[in-house]
Amino acid sequence: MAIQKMQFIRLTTDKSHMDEMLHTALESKLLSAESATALVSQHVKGDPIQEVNYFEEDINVLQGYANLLGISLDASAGCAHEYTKEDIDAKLKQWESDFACFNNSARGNLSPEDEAALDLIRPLNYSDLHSLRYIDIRFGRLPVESIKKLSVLEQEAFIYEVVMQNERYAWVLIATSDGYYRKTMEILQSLFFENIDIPLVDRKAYAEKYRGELNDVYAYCLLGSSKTKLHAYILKDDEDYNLYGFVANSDLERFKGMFDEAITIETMDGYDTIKKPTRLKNSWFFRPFEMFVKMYSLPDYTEIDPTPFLAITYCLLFGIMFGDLGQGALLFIGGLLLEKKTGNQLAGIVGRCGIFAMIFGFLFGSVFGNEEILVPVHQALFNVEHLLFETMNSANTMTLLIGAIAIGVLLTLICQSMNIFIKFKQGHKAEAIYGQNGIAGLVFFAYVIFFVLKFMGMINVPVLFDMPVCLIFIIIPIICFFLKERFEAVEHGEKFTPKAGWGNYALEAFFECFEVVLSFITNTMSYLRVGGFVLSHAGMMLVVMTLMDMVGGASPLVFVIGNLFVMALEGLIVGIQTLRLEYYEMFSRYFVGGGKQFTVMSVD
Amino acid sequence: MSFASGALSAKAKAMYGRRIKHADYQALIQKKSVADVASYLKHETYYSDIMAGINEANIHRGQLEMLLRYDWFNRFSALLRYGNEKSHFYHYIIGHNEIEQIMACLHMIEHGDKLELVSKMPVHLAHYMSFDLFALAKVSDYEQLLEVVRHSPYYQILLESKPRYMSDFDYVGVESRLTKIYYDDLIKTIHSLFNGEKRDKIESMFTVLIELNNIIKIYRLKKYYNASADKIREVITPHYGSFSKEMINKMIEADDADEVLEQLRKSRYKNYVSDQPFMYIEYQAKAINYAINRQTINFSTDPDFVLMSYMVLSETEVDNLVNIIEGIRYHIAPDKIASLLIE
Repeated sequence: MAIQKMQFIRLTTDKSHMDEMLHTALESKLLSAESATALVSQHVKGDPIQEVNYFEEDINVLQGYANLLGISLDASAGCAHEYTKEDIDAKLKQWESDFACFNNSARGNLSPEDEAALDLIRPLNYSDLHSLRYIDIRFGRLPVESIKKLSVLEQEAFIYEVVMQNERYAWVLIATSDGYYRKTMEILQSLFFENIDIPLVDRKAYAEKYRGELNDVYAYCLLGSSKTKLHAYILKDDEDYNLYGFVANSDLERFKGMFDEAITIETMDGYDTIKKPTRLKNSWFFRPFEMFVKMYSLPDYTEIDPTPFLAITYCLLFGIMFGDLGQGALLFIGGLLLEKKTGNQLAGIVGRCGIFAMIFGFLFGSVFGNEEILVPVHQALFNVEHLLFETMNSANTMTLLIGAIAIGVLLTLICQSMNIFIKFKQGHKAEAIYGQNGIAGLVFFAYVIFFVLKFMGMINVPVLFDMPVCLIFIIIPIICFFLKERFEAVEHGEKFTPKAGWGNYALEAFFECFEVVLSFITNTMSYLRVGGFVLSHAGMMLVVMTLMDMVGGASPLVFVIGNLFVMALEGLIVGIQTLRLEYYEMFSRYFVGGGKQFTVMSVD
Repeated sequence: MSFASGALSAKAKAMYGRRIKHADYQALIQKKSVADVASYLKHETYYSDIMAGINEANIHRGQLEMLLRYDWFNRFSALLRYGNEKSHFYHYIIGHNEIEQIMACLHMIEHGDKLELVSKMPVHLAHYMSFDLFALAKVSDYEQLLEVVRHSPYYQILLESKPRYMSDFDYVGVESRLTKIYYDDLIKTIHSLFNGEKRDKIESMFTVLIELNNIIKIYRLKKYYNASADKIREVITPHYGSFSKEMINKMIEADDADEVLEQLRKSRYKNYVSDQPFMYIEYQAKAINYAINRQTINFSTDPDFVLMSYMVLSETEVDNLVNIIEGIRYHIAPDKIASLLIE
């Protein structure tokens, strides 16, 4: 279905064009590159480039300097200069000595408020405050209660100024003379003063001075680091520098057109051991449902994409269970609007389910729970007495439940057929023929269904139910289930006789067969919920309508709240129950997953 | 008549429900530093509000204790918002602090240690006090003190007790008289605001306090000062409830402090008195008061009783936390700290 066909390719160039090749491939966003080490393990010719990414260490050092200066590095402007490794080392060494003064002041414990308070005394010039000969200046914070006490003690030995205050602390600048220093500190300590060192140098001035150069070197290092990381994709073969990866067949020509003549691109065949990546491509209607598939597992490249089948069956089952023309229209409009605005995939799913809810709502004759509005339309269109199908009519209950089972039977048969197709495609013949979801399972299940239909008097083909025919369609499939594992073993080149002996095998296989037969019944019964939720939805809306009749004047309010409540509750439950049917009753029959994601080549 | 609404009662009981529990105390006494205690209070208990914005890693023991007491008063003030215009009655709790500050000021006048007074000043209570707390901190002689307290209930006693020299000042006697004035005023207020059974019950709640304070005084004066019976009679507050005048007299005339404790063990509070030897008399008194108030908060529905009980219980909780903080600061063994906790 919609798994994109992939081509394994090799890009080759010389050393001088290697970075250009990597850059173009990166920018194309079309290549899922294979790492050199992974290729070597798959015996692809060549050696990975052994490089040390010294830029990473330099980036760490630069970020450390930025922290010291209280700035964040910004590489968005790119680098204006080119630097050799020696240039960078020399600069880092120079900055290490330039910024040494910051290392000596313990700045680690300062809160953002401390920093803000320090900023407020910047105009006084930090170095001037340190150079006073006879006056000692202290800066720090005091609990707010202590500030009130300070006013009582001020004239004793010092003067103070509150620089900043919040509800817990006040940041104060205190001036005292050398002679009163000890006494002042004694007072301050008794009032729980926390000293904050006034910096020896002004960090902001430093930050302004060095910011530009730091950013330039940082941008250069980031670029260098990216290049080095990309070199991990390169396999060197003599003088050739090769880049391997997968490109979608549909993108191949466009991809080739992006490179100049110095770079050759070849398609590579025969590398079957390298697992091909899976990229799903679906139409507008099916695309949001990829989310549900990926939640379960990404399909393998050799499988089929279950998204379209999931999308159709999900919408169908949801629509049946949530059949209401009005509520469906709201889901449709709301879901699609939200999808358009936010790109939310779940909203997209809700919008699409709304379409089916509208269709079945129309067929059930329900508009926001009202089952009278559409009566004339049904009478005119379908030539019926009242509605085409009255869900709450007790005479229809059995029809509804049998219909649900019929849907289950049909979906199970389709899933088994799909599984037979996929397994043959993948070369798993034993599974395709003898498995519970293979030909044996399909024959067994279909025959049982015929048997049930005969029992119900719906068909009558006597020859089909003769004992020999019965034995063929029941006993032979069960023998197939019983021996399936052995046939698989033979397919993998092992002996038909089990290693642990027939006794053990028979015991194990007997219970497995029992479980297989039982699961056909339980899985089919599981679809009863479809009918159940049709009744539940109609029942809940009946409650809303009854409440509206009871409250009289407030009925519009009950109508709105009731509908919103049912939509939210039923929408959630039906959504979850349908997903459960998809995963447990359908995926388990034909879908395995375990595919490798098509990941566009990136630096990370 | 109830001065507090039902909401006040419900709120106080809800706040009591959030109290520090036994498991918290066990966790706290195992902490290794004051910062660890502060961090636990900040992250694991309802003290997180008061601790928000506090740098718990650098917090000083004294600052933490001050915060806890400040929070206690704030909780009390917050509860009073649920009361009515006569809730001012509950500011009776300020009285103890007023006397404490006046006594600290008197010591400062004699010894000149202003820093000691100022650093322990409860500035959050300044607004409610009957004199200017900050002016008190600036006092340098007795005359100035009298000037500061001129319009408070304590003025007359301090005027009458003015010494020739501060070294002759009778601290114990003056403190007792100030306390007596405070309790007399309090009982008078209770009589004017309440009546009937409720008045008796509230009065009895305070009488328990007065009695326990009296017993503490008797015990300490006997144990540490070997004071005479007459001297003891001068300093106690003569209000009698559970202990009759005869029983108090018997304690006053006891041969020694241990006999006082023995008589306490035989009283109606016998179930609340610890059998452990060497237990501080203050601990015993607080444990008795705590037990009585816990019973009240559990079984009473009257908002006034619930509020008063809650304040006693939560103040005991703050005392417990202060004991833990000091115990950890001075490296006391956890089991020793645990024995000081009242819960």
